[in-house]
Amino acid sequence: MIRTGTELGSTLAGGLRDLGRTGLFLGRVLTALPASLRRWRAHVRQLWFIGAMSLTIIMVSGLFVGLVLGLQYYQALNQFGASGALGTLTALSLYRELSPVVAALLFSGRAGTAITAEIGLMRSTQQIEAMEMMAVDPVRHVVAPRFLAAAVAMPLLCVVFSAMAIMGAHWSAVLWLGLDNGIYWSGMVGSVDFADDLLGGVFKALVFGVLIGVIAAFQGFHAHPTGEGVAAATTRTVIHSAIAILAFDFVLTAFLM
Amino acid sequence: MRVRGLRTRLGANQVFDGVDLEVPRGAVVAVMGPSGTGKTTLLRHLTGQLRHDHGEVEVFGQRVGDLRPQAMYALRRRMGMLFQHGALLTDLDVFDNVAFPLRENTDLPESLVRVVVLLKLQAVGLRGAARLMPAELSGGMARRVALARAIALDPELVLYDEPFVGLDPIAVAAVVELMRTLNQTLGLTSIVVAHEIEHLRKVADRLVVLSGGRVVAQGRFDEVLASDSPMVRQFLQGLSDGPVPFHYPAPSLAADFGLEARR
Repeated sequence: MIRTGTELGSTLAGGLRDLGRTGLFLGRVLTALPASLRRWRAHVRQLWFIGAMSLTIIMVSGLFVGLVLGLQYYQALNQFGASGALGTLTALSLYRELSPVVAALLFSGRAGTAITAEIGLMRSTQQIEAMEMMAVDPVRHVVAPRFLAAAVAMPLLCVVFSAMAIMGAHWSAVLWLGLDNGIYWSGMVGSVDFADDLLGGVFKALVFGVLIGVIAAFQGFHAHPTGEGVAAATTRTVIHSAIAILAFDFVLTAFLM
Repeated sequence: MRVRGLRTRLGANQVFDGVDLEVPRGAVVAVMGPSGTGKTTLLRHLTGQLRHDHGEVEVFGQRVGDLRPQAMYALRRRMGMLFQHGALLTDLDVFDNVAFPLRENTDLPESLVRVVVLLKLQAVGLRGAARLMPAELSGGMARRVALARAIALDPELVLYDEPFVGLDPIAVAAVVELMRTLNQTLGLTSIVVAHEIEHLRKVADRLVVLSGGRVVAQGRFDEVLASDSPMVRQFLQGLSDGPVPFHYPAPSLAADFGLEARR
């Protein structure tokens, strides 16, 4: 009993310590960011690897989420003869909630793990140490470009996700189930507020991008320099990102409402 | 470079327990000792990558422990380090790897960077490999590229961490030859951590033997080799048992095999 309590406490303390260290790491990354912008090529390269290479999974997932939304909403709304609200409901749930959260979860699995594994491997092959020895700050050189790429890519991917999902919902509800095309689009145009709904969601995505970037880079940077160490760090990236995304989603939703 | 009364504890392990040593300018010092005695840790103290608990580590007359990050980086620009496995940056080709410290730490125009990089690569015999990626290099080539990178900024002190491990005899000969040429022509101070006495004999003029967190012998290479300390004898002659025990501390055989008299 006491032992279980002790273990629970130490796990909790470890988690809190990681949280604090990640926060301090974020400070370090942000300080190093301006100086790293001088080397814009590295940033473009990372934006390509982290952002553009995630497009496929985001687009395909967005399409399927949209297809499902079209089917589910049509069935539910049709019971009350309210299928006219389908466009509105689809757009609002996507912009405000689904796109940022689902895209971020996918992004952490696709790009977050890649960041962790890459930096962890650089750590285990002493490349990070070699940089320090060459008087180059590895946070500036390795971490900053990847962090910025994640923060920039995430809002863009969120928008792409929404676009694909709206097409998917159009496909299943209008083309397949026979909802009127005009009603679908006019419901969407009429009741979506650009600043509140769309930008609010994009802002969420930006926050998630920052979270994923710093968590993934932190885990890679502090990975134990062995095969198991990198594997464990990659797993932690996914878990910590998922929890952080959902927790911050709650907080942000409460504030943005 | 001078170390006085160095004590370090890593976790539960007392790595150094009062290490004193001195490296005169221009000397080539070999550091030897059983594995796990902290030879690499010693190098990390010199470069300031690891803080020591007690004592003094002085490099170029500056106390490493007291330096702020900026000063530490300035100090490291005057040192080069050859890592155990080269530690080349895998996303850059050979040319860019050697150019990396130059581009990051100097304002040299690109045309001059090119000249310096090609000169350094020529020195290690790999000018023709400039556009290869690290993954395409053999172990020996990677080590030579790493050496070219380590001397790119013309350092005054070069640290070698196990430069011969995993290399075939030809590659070892090449690295030994390079180390000797560099020291003779550029007058570098060098610290070499390695086990291979016969190779070290060709490059080093001083020898330090570490064991059990202390310096057990140091001085001119030949003098230390001729010393009659049992520890040094065991290590240099490669005897499996002696002052450094063959067995890791363990409970008695009888206890482990359940042969203890029943009470």
